[in-house]
Amino acid sequence: MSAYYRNNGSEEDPDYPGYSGSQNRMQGYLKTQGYPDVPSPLNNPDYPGPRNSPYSVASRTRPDYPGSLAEPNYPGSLSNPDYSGTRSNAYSAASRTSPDHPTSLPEPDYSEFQSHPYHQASSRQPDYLGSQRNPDFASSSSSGNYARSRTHPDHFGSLEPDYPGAQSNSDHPGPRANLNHPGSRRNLEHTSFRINPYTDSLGKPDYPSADIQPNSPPFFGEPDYPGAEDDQNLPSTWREPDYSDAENGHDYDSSETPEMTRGALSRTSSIQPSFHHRSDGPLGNLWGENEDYPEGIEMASIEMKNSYGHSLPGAPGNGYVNPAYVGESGPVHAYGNPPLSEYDWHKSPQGQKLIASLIPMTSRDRIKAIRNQPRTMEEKRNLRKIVDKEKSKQTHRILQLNCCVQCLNSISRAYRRSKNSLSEILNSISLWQKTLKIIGGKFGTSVLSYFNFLRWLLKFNIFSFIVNFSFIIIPQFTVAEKNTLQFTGLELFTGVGYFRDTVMYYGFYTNSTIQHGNSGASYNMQLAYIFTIGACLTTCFFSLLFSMAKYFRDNFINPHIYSGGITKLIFCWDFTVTHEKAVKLKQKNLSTEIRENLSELRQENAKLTFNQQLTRFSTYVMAWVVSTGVTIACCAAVYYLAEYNLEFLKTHSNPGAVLLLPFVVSCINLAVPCFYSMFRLVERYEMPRHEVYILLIRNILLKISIVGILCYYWLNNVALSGEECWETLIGQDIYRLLLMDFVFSLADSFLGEFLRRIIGMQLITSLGLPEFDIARNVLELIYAQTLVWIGIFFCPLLPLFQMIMLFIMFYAKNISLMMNFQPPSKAWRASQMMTFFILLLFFPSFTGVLCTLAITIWRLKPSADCGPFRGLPFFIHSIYSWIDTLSTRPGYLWVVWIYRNLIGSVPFFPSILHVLIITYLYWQITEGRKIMIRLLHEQIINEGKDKMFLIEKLIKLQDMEKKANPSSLVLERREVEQQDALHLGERDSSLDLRFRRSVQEGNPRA
Amino acid sequence: MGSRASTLLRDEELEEIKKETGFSHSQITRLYSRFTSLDKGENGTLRIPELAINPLGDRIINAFFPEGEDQVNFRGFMRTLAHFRPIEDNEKSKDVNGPEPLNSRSNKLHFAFRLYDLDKDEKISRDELLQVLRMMVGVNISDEQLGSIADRTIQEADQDGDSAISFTEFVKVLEKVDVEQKMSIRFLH
Repeated sequence: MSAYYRNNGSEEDPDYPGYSGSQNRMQGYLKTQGYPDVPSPLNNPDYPGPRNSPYSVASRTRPDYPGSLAEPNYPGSLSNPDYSGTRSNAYSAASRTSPDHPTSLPEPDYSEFQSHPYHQASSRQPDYLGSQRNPDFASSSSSGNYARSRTHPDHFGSLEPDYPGAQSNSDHPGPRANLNHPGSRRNLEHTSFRINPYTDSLGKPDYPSADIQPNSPPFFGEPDYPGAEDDQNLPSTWREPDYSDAENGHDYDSSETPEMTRGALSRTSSIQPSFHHRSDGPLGNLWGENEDYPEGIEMASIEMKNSYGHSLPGAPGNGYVNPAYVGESGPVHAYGNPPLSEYDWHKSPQGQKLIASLIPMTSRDRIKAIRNQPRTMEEKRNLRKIVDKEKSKQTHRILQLNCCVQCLNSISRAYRRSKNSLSEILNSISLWQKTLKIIGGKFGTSVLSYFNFLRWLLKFNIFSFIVNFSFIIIPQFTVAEKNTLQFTGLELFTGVGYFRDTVMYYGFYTNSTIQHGNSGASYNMQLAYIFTIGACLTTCFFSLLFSMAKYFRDNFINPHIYSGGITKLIFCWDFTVTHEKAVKLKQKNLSTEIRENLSELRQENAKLTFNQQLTRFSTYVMAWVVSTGVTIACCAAVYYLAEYNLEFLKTHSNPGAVLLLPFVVSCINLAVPCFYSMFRLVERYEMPRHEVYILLIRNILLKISIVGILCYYWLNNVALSGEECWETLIGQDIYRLLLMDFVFSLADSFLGEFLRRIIGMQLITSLGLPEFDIARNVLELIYAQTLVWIGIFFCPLLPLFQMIMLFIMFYAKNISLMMNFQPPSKAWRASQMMTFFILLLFFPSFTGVLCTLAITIWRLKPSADCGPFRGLPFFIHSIYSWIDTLSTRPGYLWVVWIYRNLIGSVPFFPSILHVLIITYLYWQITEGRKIMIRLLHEQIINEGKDKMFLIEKLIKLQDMEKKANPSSLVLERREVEQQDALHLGERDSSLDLRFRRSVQEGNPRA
Repeated sequence: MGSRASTLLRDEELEEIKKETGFSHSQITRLYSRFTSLDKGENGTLRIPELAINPLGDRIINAFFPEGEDQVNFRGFMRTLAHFRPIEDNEKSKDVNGPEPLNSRSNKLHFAFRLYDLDKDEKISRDELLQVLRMMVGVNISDEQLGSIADRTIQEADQDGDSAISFTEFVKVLEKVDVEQKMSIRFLH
C-alpha cells in the first residue's frame, strides 16, 4: 500500500508545478481575506461569515471561482455533520462545471483552513505574522487580540490527542508546499518569516503538537526541501504558518480540522481528492480519517522533494492535473487505513486504542489482529513489540507466574517458526519435484504414481541405511580386522571374495562386546545387531501401515475432491497461469484428464450381450489358468535350479558360476511379465484400471512365489547344509539377485524399450509407440524391495545399494519414458494406485519378509564360527540371555516385564494378524466416514438452500415494510446524525479541557 | 510514463473508471499507456501477454468488444480487465450495499460464462462447448472424443433438461471452485 502511495507521489512530479500557480493566487486572494478576518473573533462560527465576502472578492479575479466557493458551506461545517455533504456538492459541482479552471478549485480548499495563516502572510507584515504565533509579538501586530486569540486555539489544537501530531503534521506539507511558492516568489514575506523567532519555536511548548509528534521534525527537516536550498530558512519559517493553519482549523471546530487537513492534502494534489473526501467522508468517520494524514504528509513531502525544482518556476496552468493524487485520495477506504508513519501511529489515539484492545487478547488472537492491520510489516512488528511491552508491564504488575506463560508463548512461537521453516526446507529439498510435475503433465497421473512410489521407496531405504549405518556398521568399523582378501573387479557382481570380510555381510561382524578405553561404556554387538534390524523393520512396518491408512483416507474420505466432474474440469480454466510452458503443460494435463474421464465414460455405457459376456468370462478363466501355470512352472524351475546349483558350485571353480541362479531368476522376471501383458490382447478389459490390477496381481504372484521358493531354499537347504557361515552365503545370493535385477531393468529401460520403440516406429508401424507398463515396473520395485528387506539381516549394507539403484533407476526410467514412450492412450484415473502399491508392498511382500526373518531368528542355528551370534543355539537366544542378565538387575525389571508379558507371551504371527485386523478396521472406519461426509455435504447444501430461502423471505418482508413506512429510512439517517452530534459534543467538552491546559502551558512561556 | 498517460486521460474519466473498476490510479495510467500502445502496429491484434498464451485468449479478446462493435474504448477495455482484478482482502468487507464490484465472484463467473457462450443467448450449447473445448485442449484429442466429453459435460451440468447449460447451472457446477483465485491476473500496482 504504502509503496503504491509513494509511487504515485513520485510519479506526479511534473504535474506538481501547477500548485505554485494556484498558491500564488491564493496569496493574493488571501490577502483580501485577511482583512475581514482580523476583526472577526477567531473561534467563532461567525467567522466564516465575514469570510464569504473576501471570497467573493477573490472571486472577482476568477469568475468561475465564486461558484466553487463553498463559503456558504463553510459555516455550516462548523456546526453540522452535514457540512461535508453539502460541501461536497458544491465542490463536485465546481470541479465538474469548471474543469478548465483547475486552479480555482484548490483555492476553496485554501480558503477553508488556510485563510488564517494566509492572512498573516497576506498582510505582509512580518510583525503580524510573528504576533500570530507568539503572544509576545501579538502586541506588535496590528491586531493584538486577534493574534492572541489565535495562539490559544493553536495550542489546544495541537494538544488534542484526537488530532495527534498526525494532523498538524499533515497540514504542514500542504501549506508548506503552498507557502513555498509564495516564498519563492515573494521574498519579502519570506524574509519576514525568517525574522521570526518562531523558526525555532516549532518544538517548543507553543506548539506542543511538535512535542507530541516526534515525526514532525523529520518532515520539516531540510532534506525535504532539497530544491529550496536558496532559501534555507524557509522550511523552518514555514512551519509556523503551517501550524497556525492547522490550529486555526481547530479554532473553528475540532470536527472540521480533519477536513481541513484533508483539504491541505488535496491542495497539494488536486481538486479531486478534496471533492472526494467531502463526498465520501462523513463526519462520523473523521477519526478514522485522521489516520490518513501522516500518510498524506509522506506523500506531500515526497512530492515536494521531487517537485521543488519545478514548482518554483511554477507553471500556473496545469496545477491541478494531478491525477496521482486523485488516485490516492479517491477511495476513501484507502485513506481510511493507510500505513501510518510508525512513530506517530501508535501514539495516535487510534493506535492507543488498538494497543489497548490488543492487550487483553490471547496471543493467537492478538497476532491475528495485528496481522490484519493494514500496515507495513515494520509497523506491525513495532506494534507487536509495544503491545508485548505493555503486556509484560501489566503482567509484571500482576504476577510473576505469567512469566511462565510468556515463556511458553515464546517457545510456541519458536516452535511454529521452526516448523514453518522446516517444512519449507523439506519442500525445497524434496527430490525431483520438478521432474515429477513434468511427468505428470506429459503422461498423466498413472505414470506419475510409479515415480511417486519409487521416491517413496527411496526415502524408506535412506532411513534404513542411516539406522543400520549408525548402529551396526560404525561400531563394527572400530573393531574391524584387516581384510586380507584380494579384490578383483568381478566381486562387484558376485559379491563374494573380498566383500566376504567387509561390513557388508553378517559373517564379518563380531560377537564381542565392544569396549574402548576404561570408560566402562560397552557396546554389545549381538544385541545391537538384532535390535537395529528389528527397529528398522518395525519402523518400516509402522510407516507402511500409516501410509496405507493415509492413502486410504485420502482416497476415500473426500472422493469428490479427487474425482471432480468433467464440468468442473472444463469450465475452470486457471487464468493465473501466465507462463507459456505452464499453459502448455496445463493444456496437456487437461486433455489427459479428459481422456481418463472418457474411458470411464465408455465403460459406463458399455452393455454386453450374454454371449459376449460368456466369451469374455471364459477368456478370463483361460488367461488365469495359463498365467498361474506359468508361475508354478517358473517356481519349480527356480527351485530345482537352486538345488542343483548348490551341488554344481561345489564342483565348479569359476567364480562367475554363482551368477547363474540370479541370471535365470532375472530372466524369468523379465520375460514372464511381458508374456502376461500380452494377455490383454485377448482379455480386452474395458476399464484400464482393471487391466492394470489384474496384471499386477499376476505379476506379484509370480515374483512373490519366486522369492518364496528362494527363501525356502535358503532356509531349508543353505542354512541346514552345514556350510561355514551360511548367513553370508545367503547375503551374497541376495546381493547378486538384487544387482542382476537392477542390471536387467536398466538394460530393459535402455535397450528393450528402445528396441521396442524402433520396432514400433520403423518395422511394425501398426504397433505404434509403446506405452509405459506401470504394473510391471511397480512390481519390479516391489520385488527389489522385498529382497532388500530379507537381505537386511544377512547383509546390512543392502539399503545403501538399493538407494543407489533406485536413484539411478529414477533417471533411467525418466529418460526412457521421455524418449521411448507415448502417453498412455488408455489413460485411467490412478488416484488409488498408490494405495494399491503400498498395500501390495505390505501384504505379500513385507509380511512375507517378516515370516522369513522370524523363522530365521527363532528356528535356525547360527553358524558356529562367524557373525555376531556365533555359538548360540538360536539367534533369539541373544535376547533371552540379555533378559536374563537384566532380570538380575532390579533397575531394568520393567524391560523384563514388558518382554515377558507383551513380546514373549504373544506369539509373533498372531500379532501380524492383529495388525491386519487393525488395518481392516481402519479401512472400515474411513469407509464409514466417507458415507458420513457425503451426508454432511448434502446437509450443508440443504442448509444453504434454507438460508437463501429465509433471506429471500426477509428481503420481501423488508420491502413490504418499506413500502408501508417510507419514513423509516429517514429515521435511520437521523439516528446517524444524532450519533455524530454526540461525538461532536464529546469533542467539544474535551476541547475545553485542552484549552485550559494549553493556556496553562502557554502562560509560563508568555 | 504515468504522467504522460495521465495527461491524455481526463481526470474525471479516470475517476469514474477507478470507481467502476476498482483499479488504482497508477494501474489505470499504466494500463492506459498499454492500451494506447496496443494497436499501434495496425495489425489489429491485442498484445497482452497474460492473455495471449491463454488458450481461451481469443474468446477473452472477443469479450473486450461490446456486441456489434469492432472497437473498444479505454473505458470498456478497463471494464473487461476489471474482471480479472484479484479480490483484495479489504474489499470483501467493504460497502456491502454499493454496486457489486466487477471483480466479484459472480461477475467473474458471469464473465467466464460468456467466454463459453458464443452466441450470447445465455446458454452454452453443445456446439459452443465443443468449440471452446477445442481451443482449450489443442489437437491431441479426436473430435469424437471431444464430442462425447461435451455430451457428458452437458449431461452432468444440465438440470432443467434443455441440453444446454444456463448461467445458474454453470454457477452450480463451479460452486466449490475458487474462481476468485483462478480468474485473477496480477496487475502491477
